[in-house]
Amino acid sequence: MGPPPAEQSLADAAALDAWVLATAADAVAYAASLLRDRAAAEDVVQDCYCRLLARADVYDLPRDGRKLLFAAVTNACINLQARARGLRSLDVGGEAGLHDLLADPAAAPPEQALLQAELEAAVADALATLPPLQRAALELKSLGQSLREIADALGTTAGNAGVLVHRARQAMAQRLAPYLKGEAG
Amino acid sequence: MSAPEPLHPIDALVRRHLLRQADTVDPAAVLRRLRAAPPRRRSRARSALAGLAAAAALLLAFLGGRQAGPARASADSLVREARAAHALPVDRCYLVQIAPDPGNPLARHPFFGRTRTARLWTRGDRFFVESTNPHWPWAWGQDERGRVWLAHGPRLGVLYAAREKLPEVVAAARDLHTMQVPTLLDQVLAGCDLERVSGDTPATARVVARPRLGVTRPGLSGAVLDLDAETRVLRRLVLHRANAAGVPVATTTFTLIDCTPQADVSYRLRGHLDPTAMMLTPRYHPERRDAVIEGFFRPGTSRPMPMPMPMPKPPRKPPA
Repeated sequence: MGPPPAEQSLADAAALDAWVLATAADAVAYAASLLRDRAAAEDVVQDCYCRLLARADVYDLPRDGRKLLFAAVTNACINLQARARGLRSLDVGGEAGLHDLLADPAAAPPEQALLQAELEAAVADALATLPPLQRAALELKSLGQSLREIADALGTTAGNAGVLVHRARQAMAQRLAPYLKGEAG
Repeated sequence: MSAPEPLHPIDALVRRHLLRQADTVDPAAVLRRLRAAPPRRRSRARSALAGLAAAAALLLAFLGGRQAGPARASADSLVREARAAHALPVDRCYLVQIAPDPGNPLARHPFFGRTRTARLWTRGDRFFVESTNPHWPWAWGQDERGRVWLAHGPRLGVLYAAREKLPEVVAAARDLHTMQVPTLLDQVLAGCDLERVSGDTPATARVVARPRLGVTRPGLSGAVLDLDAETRVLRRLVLHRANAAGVPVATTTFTLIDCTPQADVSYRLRGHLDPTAMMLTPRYHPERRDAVIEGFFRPGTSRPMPMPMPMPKPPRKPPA
């Protein structure tokens, strides 16, 4: 005998809340990187959560939800980019500026922090130059997804996903060459 | 996510970038926002019938045109999603078959007058058409800068600048042979009445486009679009071409046959020429381009044409 329906329902809701809390930051960061617009990214992620939660009894979200969420976010971002080309906001900072102000300034020596910030900006700029599919494939790979999972998210084959990742790495390595110094070939 | 594996240095940089961005996100705020607009959650205890009904409604909302609106809206939505799908830089190869309308004067033209087959590769608004005849390799297309080019075998190329006026025969061939999908779908959305009809298979959604009354749409008298039900990619497209007077010209059928990624250079003239090939460009012997083009489209083009008159070798220039 399982728990009574009411208790089961509460447990389900708690598990889903925990799933949202565990995945939200990565999902928003990923969407923001694809869209270069934090506000739009939050909207996209919110919409994807709503759609997945509406089917919470179809999917096991605490187990499989991360993969489904990133696939949904990928598609939503790429579609949004394609529709809104030319209307993209130039304000990519969003609330990040506030968080930067609140960050502990003693976390790293100023020189190192400066270099780190420069590299961070270079990575963001290099990512922004990648075609959307390459960028999505590389970011999903860096977040630990397999080529099969990336292929599912992008609606392509694992072979093509590998090609996208490879090309993205090549382009990034070229753009970041001054910073890498032999770190990546 | 799968088990972690050693990260490529580039992946590590990207991961660090994403995690740093993630540090600026407050997950609790996302959850609060979700609770403020609570999604439809269904209990496992609901009856199977209710679940099925709701699932069907969701499926309809998701796949069947997003809204339970009139058929016109569904077709519009499908074509808009196809427009978005084809705007992505994905390579797709279509088999192109052109059947001239027997009643049109163009049917008597040696080049256009018979059914032809070619392979067309598209990536957004870039394209190239290549020969299916192994004894006569040729290719022509349009690169990412909008320049139309022709590779007349591996030794001779012709290039037109993006805004340059094309010879009439080239412009006609471009209209007939090519499928610049985003541009075409923009035309369809702007000037056609769309109707969704049952497709060939459950995996295909079919949309029929007819020019809207009072809208002049030169070059297009109707179209049938078979869209992949999931990806919205065009699997098959039939275009009924007409001239400016509305007289039928030809029916062009595009059938998706391959999606293998192509190198960027495939869409450029250089990708179809030998390194020492001669290129006639707006700056180098532009006056000789029309002769090559006319020779290419001349009567009896099913066999190789002889090379044009000898020309001086172009000066060696470093690659652009």
